[in-house]
Amino acid sequence: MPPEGAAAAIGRAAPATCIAHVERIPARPAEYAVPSRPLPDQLADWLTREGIRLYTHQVRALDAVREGQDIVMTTPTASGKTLAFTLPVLEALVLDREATALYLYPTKALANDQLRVLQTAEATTGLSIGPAVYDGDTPASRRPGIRQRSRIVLSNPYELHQVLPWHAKWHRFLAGLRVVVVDEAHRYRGVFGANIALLLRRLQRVCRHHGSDPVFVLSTATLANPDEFVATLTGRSALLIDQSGAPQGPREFVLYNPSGAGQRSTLTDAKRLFVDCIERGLQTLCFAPSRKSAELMGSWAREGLSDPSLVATYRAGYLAEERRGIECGLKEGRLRGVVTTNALELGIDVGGLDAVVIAGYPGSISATWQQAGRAGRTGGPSLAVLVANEGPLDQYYMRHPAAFFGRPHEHACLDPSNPAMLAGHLLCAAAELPLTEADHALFGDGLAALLGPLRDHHLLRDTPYGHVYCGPGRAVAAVDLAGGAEDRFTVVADGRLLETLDRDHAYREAHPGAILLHQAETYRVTAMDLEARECTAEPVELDYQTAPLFATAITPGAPDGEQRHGAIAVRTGDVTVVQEFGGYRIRRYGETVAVIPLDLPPLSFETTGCWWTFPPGLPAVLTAAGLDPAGALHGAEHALIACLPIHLLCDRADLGGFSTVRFSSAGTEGDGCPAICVYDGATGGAGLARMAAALLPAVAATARALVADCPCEEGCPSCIYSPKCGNDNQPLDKAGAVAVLDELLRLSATH
Amino acid sequence: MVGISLGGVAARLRETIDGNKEYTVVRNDNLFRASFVDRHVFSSEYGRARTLLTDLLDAYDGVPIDEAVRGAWMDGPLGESWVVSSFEPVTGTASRPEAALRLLRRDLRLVHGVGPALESRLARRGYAAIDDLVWHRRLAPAAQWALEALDSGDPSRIAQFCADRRGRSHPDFFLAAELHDETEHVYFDLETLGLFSRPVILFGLARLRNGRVEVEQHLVRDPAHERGALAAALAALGEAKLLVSFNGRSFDVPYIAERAAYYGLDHAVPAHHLDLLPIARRLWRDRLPDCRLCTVEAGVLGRERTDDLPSAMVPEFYTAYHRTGNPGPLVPILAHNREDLVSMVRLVTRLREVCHAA
Repeated sequence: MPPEGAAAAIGRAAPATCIAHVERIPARPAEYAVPSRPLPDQLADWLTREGIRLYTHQVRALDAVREGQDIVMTTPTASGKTLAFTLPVLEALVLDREATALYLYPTKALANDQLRVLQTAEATTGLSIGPAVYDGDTPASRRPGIRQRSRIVLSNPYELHQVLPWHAKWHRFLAGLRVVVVDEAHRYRGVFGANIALLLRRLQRVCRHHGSDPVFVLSTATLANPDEFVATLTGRSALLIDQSGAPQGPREFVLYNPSGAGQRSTLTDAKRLFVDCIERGLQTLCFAPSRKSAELMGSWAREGLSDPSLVATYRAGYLAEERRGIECGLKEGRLRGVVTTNALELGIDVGGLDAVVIAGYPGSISATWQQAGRAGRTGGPSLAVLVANEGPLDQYYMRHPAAFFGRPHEHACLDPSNPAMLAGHLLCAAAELPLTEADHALFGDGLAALLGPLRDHHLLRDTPYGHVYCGPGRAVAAVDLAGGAEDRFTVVADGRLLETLDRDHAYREAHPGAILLHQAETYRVTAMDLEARECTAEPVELDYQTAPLFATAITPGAPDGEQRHGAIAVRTGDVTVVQEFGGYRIRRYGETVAVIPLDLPPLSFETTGCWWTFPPGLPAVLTAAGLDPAGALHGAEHALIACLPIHLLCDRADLGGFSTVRFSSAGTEGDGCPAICVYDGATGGAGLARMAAALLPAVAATARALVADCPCEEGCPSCIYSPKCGNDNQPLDKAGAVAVLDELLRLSATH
Repeated sequence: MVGISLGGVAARLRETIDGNKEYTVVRNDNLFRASFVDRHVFSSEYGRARTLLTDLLDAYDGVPIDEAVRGAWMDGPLGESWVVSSFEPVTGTASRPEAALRLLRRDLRLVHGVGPALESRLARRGYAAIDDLVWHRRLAPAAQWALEALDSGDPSRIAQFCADRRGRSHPDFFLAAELHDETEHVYFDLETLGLFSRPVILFGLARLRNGRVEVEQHLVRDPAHERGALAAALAALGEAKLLVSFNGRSFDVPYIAERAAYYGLDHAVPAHHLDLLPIARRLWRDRLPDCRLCTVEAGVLGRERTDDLPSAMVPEFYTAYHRTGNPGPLVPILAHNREDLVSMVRLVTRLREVCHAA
């Protein structure tokens, strides 16, 4: 049964005041095209047999790859992206018996899903491809065969990192490599992305050595800067294919803002809408923010329905059999509703659904569309409802739907020039093949600067054949693609490893006395050994939480860049961040009941930041207006960081901030002025702060709207409160924050 | 990159790399524990070696490398290589190709279709050699084929035939290797900076010539010389009719192939390769706690090692030389490698006795 109009469908379940916006997206017909040159008979016959006509974007992809042009596709979920990049690969394999292709996926599960697709293609076309997954789970006995025979290998970056040193054994595959497919490329951002960017450069130089120059075919979620992002990731320019020719049924997208506050009202309202959709005959998927909430909503929904067997819960951690059963149940229509975590977001085929309910903004617009795209796959009408949380991003989009449905504005960024990461990959590269002049263009200026120090520490040796790796251990073991491996803390309870944390998180969440939640169990940290990087915890039954108190001090180095926005000069460069952990709060039901002192050495790290100053007269102006200058700057800083994920694909926890009424920048320009600094949480920097410098006026405008439009009186978790604040959200001045953001916007528009 | 010290970045990396050791030190020399880890050094060995390293750095302080490891530059196909030469007298029996071939002809299992059960039935019925089977109605064609291989006069073909029929750990494979002229054997052992994808430190070669073992060690005094030494070693190996190694099929040969690929060199390692490890393992697995070469020496040849450098610690010693320029740590590396080569020669003599006696 098709949806009968969003307002009607959910009208009974909720008061109309909760419906913040209804976006009606009209149906779009299919647009077909014909390749510039006919496909080889085998492939043309296959498409005819399967009744497939090619959409415009699939043909553009095929024609570009034929010309040796890298491409990046940003077309939506279910638009036939897989066929778009598999067709040129299959054609290359048909035309050249030696040709091979590599598919990289961010996870093993996605590679395995794709394997089934390629195996089907092999069976139905009669081509001899031998597609195979080669990853950590591949048994040793199968590995030589795959290296010798497979023409399409599916893997993940972690495995590629381990495989590259063995390139000599992969000669056949690498020499024939024609296409490298990088799916879900938007996941390769921040620290992880920088590592992948360097890994892809290593792949390129190894290919060059074996005489191949593959085309890179990427797919990403919708981004504001796909060209720039891909150019940084691969170091090459790519043709953007963003117009989908796939048909789309009419869609209604509802933004729904619960009247109550807190996480619970988001979940209960989402559950009500979910049950209502099912009762109206709509097959519905409900996305929950966590495993625990998925279980909770699933059981509520079963209680609310006359036939509980119509609803199931789906999440990672279930047995493969159970998951397959649920997938089949959805496809066959037996199941009318499933509550799921984002485990069902990607890849897994469950057929078309009528409606999707999303409980809480998933963190990015692209992730929201990926979830919403689960409805209406068959081209029929569909409904999606986003139920907001109290967080600033949720609330911003509820009040500014045009920002949600308008032009993409999320930037993905990464910074492969981070010297700590570059140095590790240079050693790996030098262990794969001697580093030579030809590699400077690939790795950038950082290479020349690092050769000296790496030689001095006897890790590289300059020889007539290039720089040769000569460290006593494996180079690849010194690089952790996810970042931070060398400085991880373990948390142990009853002799069992609970989890591992990086130093920063260990200080915040696993200091002595901290209450740690692990899979719904509560633990108290009893000891923290900074030398051994080990925290000891014990299980407890307690009803309070803890939050650390820390003071942050920033010492900027000499700026290495300046971004001018009118009268505001945003400087970028290395900053040293020192955090003094003075104690922690004990909080019960949101109230601080006690403050306990902590005795920890300061946490210090070097990273990349951006900072700017205001005219020295600003505090006086604010004071005269009855506002608190420190609270105003602090509130503006929180609002800016809260809004960065609207413009930059990241989590607010990936960034830190600092504000002061009197900036001390060692006598340089702006010394003694009010200032705000935003820095990357990752040691060495992940490129976020640099990108933030460029986007500042846009971010400030969003932040201003966020704070000014928030109905609260004195600031709340939806606007200027930060869950990560080391200063217990003190001092904050909401009106002052608006005044500071206004001033920032005025100055950045002044020429 | 202003505030971030690149020296600090390099220092941290070096610390990480130095910390990732490729062996485990087994406390209290516990044999039982050693069996759980792939590559181990007993704590007593480890302690001795660390002391040795300190002593060497003292003893050789200021000594020029030419004096510490006496050798000569030798021209190779791709540049010079520093070669340390030495000799060792040969003891034990010489190879007996005719006797080896006779023994092979008596192994009915070399005939396709003959398994253990059929072998004993045939023996009971008086079939003593493959030659007898040419009269056997069913087995005649297979026996003819086996004899054709054994009579080919081509040791490589015979060895391949034995490997296919009986495997590379079987005494037959050793006997087939005996058919090559002893002077055309090249014994081969690498010392490297690690288990994989790092420079080779030393290419150790040994040949039986003029009635003695001639040891030729190409020392990589600086990684810049690795390519030259590699090319010289590959040339020497290329001339060999038979390569003899201990664990060379899994380690030395793939390693040298990978290094050749690293420098973009063409390489051809002789197809015929006698790896002593699988044969030793098959014969003495039950008698020995493990099958490391030094254990086989002690348990089978009755010789205790005189050097104090466990194989797994060679990279550490070379790194100490590399970082200080002090040649002292190279001395035990050369001695260790030389002992390995000479031991292999002795092990072949011992295997000859065992295989001919069987």
